[in-house]
Amino acid sequence: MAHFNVSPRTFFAIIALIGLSACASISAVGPGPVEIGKSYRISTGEVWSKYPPQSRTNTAATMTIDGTILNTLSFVDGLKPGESIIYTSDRDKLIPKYRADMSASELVDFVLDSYSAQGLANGKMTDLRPEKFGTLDGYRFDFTGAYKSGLELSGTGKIAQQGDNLHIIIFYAPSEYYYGLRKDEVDGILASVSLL
Amino acid sequence: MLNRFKPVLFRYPLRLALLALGSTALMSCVSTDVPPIEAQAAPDDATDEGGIWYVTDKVEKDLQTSAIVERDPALNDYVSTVACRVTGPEYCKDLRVYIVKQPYFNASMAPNGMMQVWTGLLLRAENEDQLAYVLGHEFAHYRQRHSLKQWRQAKNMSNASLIFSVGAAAAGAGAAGVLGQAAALARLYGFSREAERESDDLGFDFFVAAGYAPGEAARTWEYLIAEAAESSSRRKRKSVARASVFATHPVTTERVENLQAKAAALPAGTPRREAFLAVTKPFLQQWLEQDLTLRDFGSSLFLTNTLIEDGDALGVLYFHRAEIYRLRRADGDNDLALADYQTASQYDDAPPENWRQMGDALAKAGKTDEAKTAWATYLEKAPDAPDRLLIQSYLDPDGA
Ligand SMILES: [Zn+2]
Repeated sequence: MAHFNVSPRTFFAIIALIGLSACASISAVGPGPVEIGKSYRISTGEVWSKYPPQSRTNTAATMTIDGTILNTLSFVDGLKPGESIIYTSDRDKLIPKYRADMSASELVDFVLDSYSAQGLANGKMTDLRPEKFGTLDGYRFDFTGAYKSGLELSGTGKIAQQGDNLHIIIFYAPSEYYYGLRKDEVDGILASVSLL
Repeated sequence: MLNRFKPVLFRYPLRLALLALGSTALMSCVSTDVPPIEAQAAPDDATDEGGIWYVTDKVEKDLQTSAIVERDPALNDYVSTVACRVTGPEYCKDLRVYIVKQPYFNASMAPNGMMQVWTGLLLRAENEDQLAYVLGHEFAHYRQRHSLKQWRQAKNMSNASLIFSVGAAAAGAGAAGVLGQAAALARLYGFSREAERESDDLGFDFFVAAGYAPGEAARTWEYLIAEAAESSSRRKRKSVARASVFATHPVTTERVENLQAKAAALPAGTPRREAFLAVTKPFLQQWLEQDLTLRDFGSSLFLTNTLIEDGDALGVLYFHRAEIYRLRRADGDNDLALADYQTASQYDDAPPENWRQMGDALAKAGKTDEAKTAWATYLEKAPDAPDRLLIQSYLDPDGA
């Protein structure tokens, strides 16, 4: 679930609507442990809204605290080689696919290129460093970009391979105010990963 | 001329504009025979043309704040200057050129004077002349008011889907974004065969009058047809046969031959390459990277090989070709990639990442010591590299 096409007008309309929306498939999770798919668990410090898995994008869960336009935390659980994290109805569109032998920078490129194919503008990795994902050797990365409307966004995430499969946690929000607002909470979540 | 991101005023109240658009539906038939637009003319508020301008002004206003517009002043000045050379000083004031960061070969001309030039076009033009020809062709659509003709023809034929497209764009298809709106409007500038032919002829005249080399007009289309034939996308390869390489302006062999014949009757001239290269070179790597996000390796390889033949920016180009092989992962591509990283490393303009990727490729090939040398060179060349900590962990796995 990625929203890069939102216009400023829609952006503010959605801010106004968020309080009114309710959906049965969304559950409140936290504060405390939240299981993601079959492979790992994270722990939140606050209450988040959790959306169900989306098989089309191989997303195990999407969570948000203020609405997916204002911040989105997505989880992929064990992506298999040849799979993709974006969906296109255009069967002829060529999209980035995950491969088991990708290097760390290739893994991050795979994630950001996928988002770019989906509408992230000016996506750029700004930091990449080794960091544990539970007990796995993983990588932490930061990135910047923009919604197509021009609104700038910042993001951070963590990836790790378990055998041939890839786990991804990725968070992004508008750079102005909203990213900083949830940065500490998200850092805490990224640090809390434990394998099931 | 300086690039003018002049604010587009809401010239007409919405209700009036929609009334004007709607009113033509009541007439039995509107004339599609319209004279060329005068320089610095704007249509009357209460006409269908006024309504079309209102809608495109609205789309333009969103485009102005969009993240997909390239705002580099030197590049914008240059492209706008080339546009003015082909339009002449009077019409120059009517056009506003936007460079849009999209990896496709495309340019479009809205009826209100909003011209879009996509970076995929700038990446593929070999010289100023080829760019100038496309801009001349686009300007001809504006001058001949092809959008208005298109609109009136649709109205006369009660083409509901076109009318709906424009209505949707007018309503501000917010969530669909700027390109969504533009796509809805593209129906207005997806022109007829006659309009394309007229724009080819007029565009050619404008571009020759501005002193450009006549033979370059056909070369742009020839290149596009050749690249599409090499595409990894079946649909794109088929589009060669269907003659729709240049989405909103279908390119046919007949059109190519027409331009070739016109050029053959004139002295050859010398294409202007230096100025074009000077202003586009700083963007080459960025545009190539964007092209690669399409994952159309066949097309990217064809493009990169063509640019390598031209012989400029070889460090950037060999690095990029290595990147194509690295991502394509066909049999033998690892070796091809490594060889190109090594070739690129001999040129001064190879980007620092070339050494990081060369290190990764060497490590994959089991050459650990050479890999470490390449990674170390990367950190020397890019001391502030975003992945410095990662690379240091490769150089010193025990983490000193
Ligand atoms: Zn055309």
